[in-house]
Amino acid sequence: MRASAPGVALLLMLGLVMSAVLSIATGPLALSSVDSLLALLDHLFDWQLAQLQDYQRAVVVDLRVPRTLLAMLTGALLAQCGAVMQGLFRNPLADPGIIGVSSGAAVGAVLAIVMAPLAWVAWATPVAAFTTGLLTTLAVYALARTANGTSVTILLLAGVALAAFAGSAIGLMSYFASDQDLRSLSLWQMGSLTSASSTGIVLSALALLMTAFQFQRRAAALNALLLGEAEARHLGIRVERLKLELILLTALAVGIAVANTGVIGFVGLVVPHIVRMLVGPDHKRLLPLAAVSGALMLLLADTLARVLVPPAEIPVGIITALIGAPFFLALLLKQRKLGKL
Amino acid sequence: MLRIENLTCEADGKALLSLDTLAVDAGETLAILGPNGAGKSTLLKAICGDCRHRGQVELHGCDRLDWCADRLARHLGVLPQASQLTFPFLAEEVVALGSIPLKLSQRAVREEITRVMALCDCLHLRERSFPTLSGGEKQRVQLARVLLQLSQAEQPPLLLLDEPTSAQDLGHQHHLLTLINTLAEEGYAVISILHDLNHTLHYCKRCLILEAGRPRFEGKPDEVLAPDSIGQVWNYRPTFGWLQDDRLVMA
Repeated sequence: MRASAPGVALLLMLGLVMSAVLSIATGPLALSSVDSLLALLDHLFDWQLAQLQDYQRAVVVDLRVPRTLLAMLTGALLAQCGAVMQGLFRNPLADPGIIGVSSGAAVGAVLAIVMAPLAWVAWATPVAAFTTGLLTTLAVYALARTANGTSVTILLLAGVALAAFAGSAIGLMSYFASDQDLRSLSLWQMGSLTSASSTGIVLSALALLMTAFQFQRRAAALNALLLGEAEARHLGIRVERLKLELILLTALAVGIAVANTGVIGFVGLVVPHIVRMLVGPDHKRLLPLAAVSGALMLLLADTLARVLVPPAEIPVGIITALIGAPFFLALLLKQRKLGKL
Repeated sequence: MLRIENLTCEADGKALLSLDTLAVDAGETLAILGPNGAGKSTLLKAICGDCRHRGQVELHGCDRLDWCADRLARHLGVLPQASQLTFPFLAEEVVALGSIPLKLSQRAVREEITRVMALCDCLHLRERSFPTLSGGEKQRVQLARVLLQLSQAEQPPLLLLDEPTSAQDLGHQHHLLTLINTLAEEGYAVISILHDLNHTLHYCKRCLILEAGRPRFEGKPDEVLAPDSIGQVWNYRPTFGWLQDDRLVMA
């Protein structure tokens, strides 16, 4: 049984708006949601509606709003890339992390955090993360490319090998890190939205706009790809080019997400699955709905991460992994039952 | 409409297929026969460009490589032996994928889907989830998809079928072969890999028997398929008989 896509979209948008308000009004500093929203409007339009002190306004405008935005943008980027990767590999277990983008991007980001002069870190981290993420992905793709197309098996296995390599490289670099760097490294490796910079938000927004548009244009081709590569080719799709474009776009989106927030796992796996269960596998509906759901899921996970142990907070990657890992195991069991593993 | 010249396919330096010439006209039904590993699937793959090959494959007088992708898709359809699709599309959504290279309105696509699904006797499955269908049902849905893909061809299209009857029950085997002949009457050229020699005798105008990557016999089925030739190729001598309506059968 399928739900109607417009209905699901409406509910998701409603949920997203409500969660955004919740996220802006939640935190160790107790502020009412009305005042929080008013403070945001004041900031945008130069009004004076909220009954708040300056430091309270600052908490809303400088801390909570950027963080809410980053959570939504990152969640949308990750979920959308997960949906694309699953289609590309024709494997519902695929995730951007699996082909090596996340681990490759992590190496670059760590390199920047440890090596770059302090003043450069804000810019150097996303640039380095994107660059190494892209290089890793291209290396994996080149390894997997054969005369008859790309071997999905080799692509996945190469991703596993590179993830292990990246893990040890990051481990090695943490030996050379200062205590301060080490702390931000470990926090970042667990995935956290604490460092929401305006640079990061702008980059994420641009990346989301561009990839969402490009993915949507290729939605029909992705549907055809689910039939099999030969079948897609017979339908007039240039399969090799399509795969390369999709890999580049995913590397871009995931590289930027990783640079901002570290490795937040399982959003790209769980969200597309749930959306597919609701509205079916057609990418024309799946891709935009996955983006909105990803935004919603990461926003809720981050709000949870902030309220569980106040005034401290849990890295959001731990929350998504706590939800995602059992989900992944359940999927594995289901696939095994179907005899596909 | 299809002309093949000096076709050779190799894998790891080993020749899989070598075919000097083959021509198929619009309206023709050609059966490709031969023992396992004779190069039947390789021939089909070479025609549609799925495997690397040397030599020329021309469609309507124009090299396949020179066709633009969408136009080629509207004129060359391939039904694979089995489908790898595991994502839960509905059967009618799978058929709708055939409209990707077409320029049709959504309404026209819906009408065409109903028509081709009825032709392939799978209209009653349209709301079913594709992965839950049986092998034969999946194959009929896929055929409907391919027929939709070819439905807007400006010139007679070429349909390649890889063992189209392998997963079908007796009734659907004959329904499908009759459908192929109807399509051929409309101008389609149909090349199918078949294993059942009786099907070839009754439903195909021509047959090509491959052995070890080379053509061994070619011609009208009732002339080519004789106990001697069959015995040479398959190491099995069938018995022939005639039905009351003078149709040749073998057992």
